[in-house]
Amino acid sequence: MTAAGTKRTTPPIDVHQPRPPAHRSDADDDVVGSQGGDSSSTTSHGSGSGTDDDDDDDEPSHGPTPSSSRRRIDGKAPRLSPSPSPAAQHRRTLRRDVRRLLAIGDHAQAAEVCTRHLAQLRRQQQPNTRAATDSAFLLVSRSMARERAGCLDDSLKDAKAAIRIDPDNPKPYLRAASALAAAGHVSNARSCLAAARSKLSLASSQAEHAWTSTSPSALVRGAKRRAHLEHRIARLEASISSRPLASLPLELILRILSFLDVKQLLRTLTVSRQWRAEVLAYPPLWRHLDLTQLVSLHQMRQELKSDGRRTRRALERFCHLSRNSLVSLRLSAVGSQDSVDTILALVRSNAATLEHLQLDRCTAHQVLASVVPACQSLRSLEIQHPPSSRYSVQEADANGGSMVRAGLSSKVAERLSTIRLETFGVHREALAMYPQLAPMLSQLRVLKVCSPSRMCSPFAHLELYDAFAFDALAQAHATIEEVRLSTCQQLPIRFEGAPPRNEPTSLVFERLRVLEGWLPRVVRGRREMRRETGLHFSFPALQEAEVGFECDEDEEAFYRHSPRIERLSHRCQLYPQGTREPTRRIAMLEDLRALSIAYRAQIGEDPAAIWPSLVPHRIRGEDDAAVVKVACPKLTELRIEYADRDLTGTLLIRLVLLRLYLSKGLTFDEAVARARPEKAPGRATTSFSRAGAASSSSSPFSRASGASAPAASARPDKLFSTAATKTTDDDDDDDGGGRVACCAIVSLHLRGCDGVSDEAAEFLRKVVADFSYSP
Amino acid sequence: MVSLTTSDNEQFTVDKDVAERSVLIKQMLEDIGDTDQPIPLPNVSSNVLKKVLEYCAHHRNDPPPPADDAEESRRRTTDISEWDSKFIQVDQEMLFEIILAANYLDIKPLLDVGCKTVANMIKGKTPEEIRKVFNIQNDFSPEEEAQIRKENEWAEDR
Repeated sequence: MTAAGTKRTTPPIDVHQPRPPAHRSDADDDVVGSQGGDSSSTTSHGSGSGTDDDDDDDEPSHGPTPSSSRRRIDGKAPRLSPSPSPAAQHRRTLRRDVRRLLAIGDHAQAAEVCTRHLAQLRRQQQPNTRAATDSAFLLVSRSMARERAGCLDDSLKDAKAAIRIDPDNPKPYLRAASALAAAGHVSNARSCLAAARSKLSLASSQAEHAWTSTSPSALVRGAKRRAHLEHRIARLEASISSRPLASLPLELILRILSFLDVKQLLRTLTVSRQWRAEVLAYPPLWRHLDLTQLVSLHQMRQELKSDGRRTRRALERFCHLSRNSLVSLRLSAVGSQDSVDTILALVRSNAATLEHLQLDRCTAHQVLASVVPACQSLRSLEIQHPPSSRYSVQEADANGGSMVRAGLSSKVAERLSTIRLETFGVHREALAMYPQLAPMLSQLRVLKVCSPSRMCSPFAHLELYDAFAFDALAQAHATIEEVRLSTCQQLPIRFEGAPPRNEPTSLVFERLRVLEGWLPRVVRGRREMRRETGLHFSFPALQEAEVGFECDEDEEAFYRHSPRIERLSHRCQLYPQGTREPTRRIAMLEDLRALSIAYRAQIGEDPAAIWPSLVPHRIRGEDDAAVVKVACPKLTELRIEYADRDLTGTLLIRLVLLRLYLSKGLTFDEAVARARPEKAPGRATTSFSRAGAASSSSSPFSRASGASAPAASARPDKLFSTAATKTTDDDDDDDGGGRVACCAIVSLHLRGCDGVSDEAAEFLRKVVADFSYSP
Repeated sequence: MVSLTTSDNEQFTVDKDVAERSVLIKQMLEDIGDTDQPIPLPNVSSNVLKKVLEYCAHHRNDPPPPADDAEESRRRTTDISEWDSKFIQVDQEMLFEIILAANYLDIKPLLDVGCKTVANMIKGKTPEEIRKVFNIQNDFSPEEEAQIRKENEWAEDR
């Protein structure tokens, strides 16, 4: 309204002299104005539109009038030429009429008027700007009338025609967007809106450029119109984005819902009546029941109290909703034997379609005997024995074989690809049967394997707990991808006698994870057995390992026989006091690229002695002579957890200084010399620990730190200063040693480590590309 | 090469194996044989088809999607491949247009990517928020709603 008010005060200003139509900017400006007027008339009332018309009329008539004359005209002329030409008068009335019709809702009439005048214009054959603007206006108006009357296609056609006639005018784009949005072509509408927006900003930038040649009042008017149009675009945009999913058909909504889990799905049931009915009546949504996800402590208690009522009811409900076509079922049978029996009976009656079955806390024999034979399409089977009735090896020996045979015989086993039987003994004979019974079997996880002597099936994943001597794996190794072994009572893998068909390098053990507890138990508990059987850890192609050793010899043997390890995760929790220098052994791994090492216990050794062998440097002195000459030249990733201060300080200083010196253009020898600690390990320790601490005050990483000398006793500066004599010493010592590769640590992660000052951390962050530090 | 014409009369020419990621187009081509005539796709606009063809071109060498029996693996919503998840990072409108187009053109993998994305959006939303997303009126009385919620209480962790 205020806009209309101001407009009303200004009409006479531009209602005059037709100027040669050449300069578009003004015209655009005014065209925008016409839209503003149009919208105000259509949205509110027709009273103000008369003045708007005035504005509109002279839109195209602005020419490239020199700014001075223009101003003069604008300033003085208005009142001198109050009477517009008859043609202008005519156009003004026409516009007013159309807007009035649109405002009162007589869309048919409005459209008709537009059509009539459009035809007239076409007959006139005046290809001038004014006529074009008029046709655009009429088309836009008709488009609006038609959209409101429901003829969306025609409306869109008009809008597009208007765009063709007046391509720089944002208004027709807005119109097209509106028609498209009404027809549901949301993304097209969006792109039209974007076009409208860009035209609008173009118009305003042109108006800005032309501000000297425009009268102040016209400027104000133009800006107001543009603001109004902007507002309309924003409104349409908002209305479009507020109706997103509504247009999707039901089948697609149901398809989307099929990706939700049970909990989410049930939660949506309160959305609406129709929704609930549709969702409940769509069986595919209810074919998967996983009750193992849903177990919280509270629910567990409830479940025990009610004797498995929840499980039974959920199972019944899903059987019903899926029309007895459950595909996957995971549940944990809780409650009395009666309850479990009921559950198993229910499962059995729905077993025909089951492909995945996981039953926890069920007696394996019962499941195998009663449920499994009814499962015609089973692919994976997991049974977890109840802990209370732990299965004894003798029992397995006695009836395991026959049970498994009974359970998995016939057609059931044919399609099985995964078997996981936990807390459940399988007799060696039974296990040996699996390959024949289940030709598709690729994943097997069993507990208490009782000496399976022949295992020839191509398992890709094998997980064994409590396995007895498992010596035939070698025959199957060609396809094994991952082996997990735990608490095996006799070390299970021996490749010494492996079949010679494969070269040692072609063994496919890419990852071997020695689970915690395996080695210690074996080694600690049955050390004599280890000796007796003469076990070896020999994985010639092993690339990644996570290990924790209790005894040095084991570790050494492991590294010696697995020289290709590239990634090593070393857990040192169980290191006894006095164990010496794990890294000297790790240093045997020439291919090592990444090392993660965690110390939890107090390390009962000289920390300075741990690291020197890891970092590439040239060896000197009798102490180091035994150590390999160049250790781990490829090491680029390092992760340290819970190291103590001395260790961290030592390590960091060595690694990072080395890098720094190298980056400064020193030769490797010089860098090493400068980065090296004192020769004697004992002294080095103290110096380094102090150095680590002192790094906060002085800057230990730059050589020119002489000014801020730390405590004289610690003398950390000595560590980093060029001890010229030392350098020469080194050169003498190491004459025979070859050049070594640079240890360029690019990834360094420190957790729970002491002794890294803020300053040092700051420095590391700069030098090491991937650095993290949490004390 | 196959020509496709969109609802807004734009024409796209693509390799046959790209176009045939769409089962609809594949069947059309089988029905009519080799032709130079553009195939009209009146339900797909040009900017959507451009996006869809981008997907098809990237996945042109994929093995044909497994039949429906791979349902179990299909249901894991988080496993959208990296390229796909980047591809599907579009505004909601475009997302739904893509879903509709994939459904119409019968490109199952793309349909699944779209549906999974929406499912991930719904995850963790309250019924009220879901109503908003799907533009649905709640016609339950509070008592009824409470009753249904009670029925399904077993599935909630508390």
